[in-house]
Amino acid sequence: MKKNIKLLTLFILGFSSLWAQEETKEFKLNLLETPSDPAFIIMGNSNTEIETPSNVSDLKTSLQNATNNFSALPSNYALSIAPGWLINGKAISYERYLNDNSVIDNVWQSLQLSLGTSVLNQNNTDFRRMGAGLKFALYRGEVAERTQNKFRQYFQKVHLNIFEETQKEKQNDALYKKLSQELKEAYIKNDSAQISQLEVQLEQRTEALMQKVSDNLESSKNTDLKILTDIKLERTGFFWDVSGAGAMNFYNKNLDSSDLYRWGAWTNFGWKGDTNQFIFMARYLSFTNDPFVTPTEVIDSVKYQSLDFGLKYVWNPTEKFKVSGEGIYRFMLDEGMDQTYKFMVNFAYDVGKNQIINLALGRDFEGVYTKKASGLMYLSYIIGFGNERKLKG
Amino acid sequence: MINKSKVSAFRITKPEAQVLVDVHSGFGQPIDTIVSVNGDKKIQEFGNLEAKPIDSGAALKNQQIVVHVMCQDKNTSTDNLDVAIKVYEEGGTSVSMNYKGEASEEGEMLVMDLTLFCI
Repeated sequence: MKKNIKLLTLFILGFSSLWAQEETKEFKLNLLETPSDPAFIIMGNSNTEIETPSNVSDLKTSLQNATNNFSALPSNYALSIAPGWLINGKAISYERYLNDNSVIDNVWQSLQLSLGTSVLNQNNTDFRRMGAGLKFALYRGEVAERTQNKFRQYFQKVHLNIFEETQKEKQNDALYKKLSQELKEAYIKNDSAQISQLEVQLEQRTEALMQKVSDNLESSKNTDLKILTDIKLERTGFFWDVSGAGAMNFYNKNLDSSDLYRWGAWTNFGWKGDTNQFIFMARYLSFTNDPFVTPTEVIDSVKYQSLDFGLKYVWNPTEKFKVSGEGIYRFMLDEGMDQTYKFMVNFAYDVGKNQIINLALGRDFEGVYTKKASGLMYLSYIIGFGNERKLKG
Repeated sequence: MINKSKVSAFRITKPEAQVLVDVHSGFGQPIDTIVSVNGDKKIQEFGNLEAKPIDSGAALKNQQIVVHVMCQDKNTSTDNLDVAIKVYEEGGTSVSMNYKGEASEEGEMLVMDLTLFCI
């Protein structure tokens, strides 16, 4: 097998929104995962063929550098948006984000639209490929119980602060104590007129003291929220994603000289636990024009279709380290074409908050022209910015 | 933050029975309850409460119960922010405090303070 070693640098810039202008409602979460946009997959330059379920970013851009030793500007780009979060992310609540089982909410909150472009080389001839895709989840799983507990603990801690501060205010307030004592005496005397009057006065005084507590809290609650910034928000349980994408080739830097390269639709479903995850993938691809490009012409574009079935296993023994292996078998639906397969092994390590280094090694599908499979190696550095979610609780 | 308070007498008629507390909020609203007797915290629980015992009527006579509830709405403008607190003896006295309001876009926090003088 001829080794064709590629070195890729992948930068993911994502999640743009401002940090914590309303401190009690906005949590800075660690959402970053090794990316796998449908646009990259359909263009054929993703570091994984089987997408893992992940929490979406509002906006994500990808830059790839396929040149030697990082000596040139990136030639491959992708842009991914999540309309549900860009358009009305502020209206998605803690409960609906963490626990909602509505398929409509799942689809809308997980919908990602992606666009990508890359420069490919065949027979020493460059040509551009552009892809567009969408991805959404029918079922996303649920945020792990331990993560939800952290939210609850935070909510309870804030409440305890409010309660204790209110108690202190009551104990130190002379008017509150005087009204309480008078009310107790009125209860003993059973003086209904005085009871009604004192109850109202005491309620008003209590609300005034509660207001004082909430005003003081406004300026001191940031510390509590920082507890949540270290939470890695991952979902567990059954999940089911659906994706679709198409890609076009553009030759001779000419928009008129183009054709549809391939399009397809696929579904991923599986189960995700705290440390293990199994994903099955079924995919239909239609290669409308798989070109053989030479310096002077594009020869005999081959058309064919395939059904791909894949299996991926992900093991993340710690929150920082993740290993995955995936295999895809391609059934060619056209006579005379050989079946082929691909496998990849991925190693990902969180080097810091929202920063991942990913190494992918594997074997690519056999090409229809060369009948040879290439070895693959992708080295990626991924960094995300501004991973905020407006949550309540 | 919305602050609501209610002050009332709670007449113990069955000293041998437990005094119970119910706390309910509308669907999907995170809710937390703290119950204190004479300033000492006896209960703190996340979620709705159903017939949660505080103490016996005999033990609570002449004491002051505070039921402190914090709740947050679903942040959807069409939903209501509803919370109901009920302290009661089974088959005996009961005192309720209810809040019904419009949920805000901003995810308003509601804090309710029900003070009961047990007599």
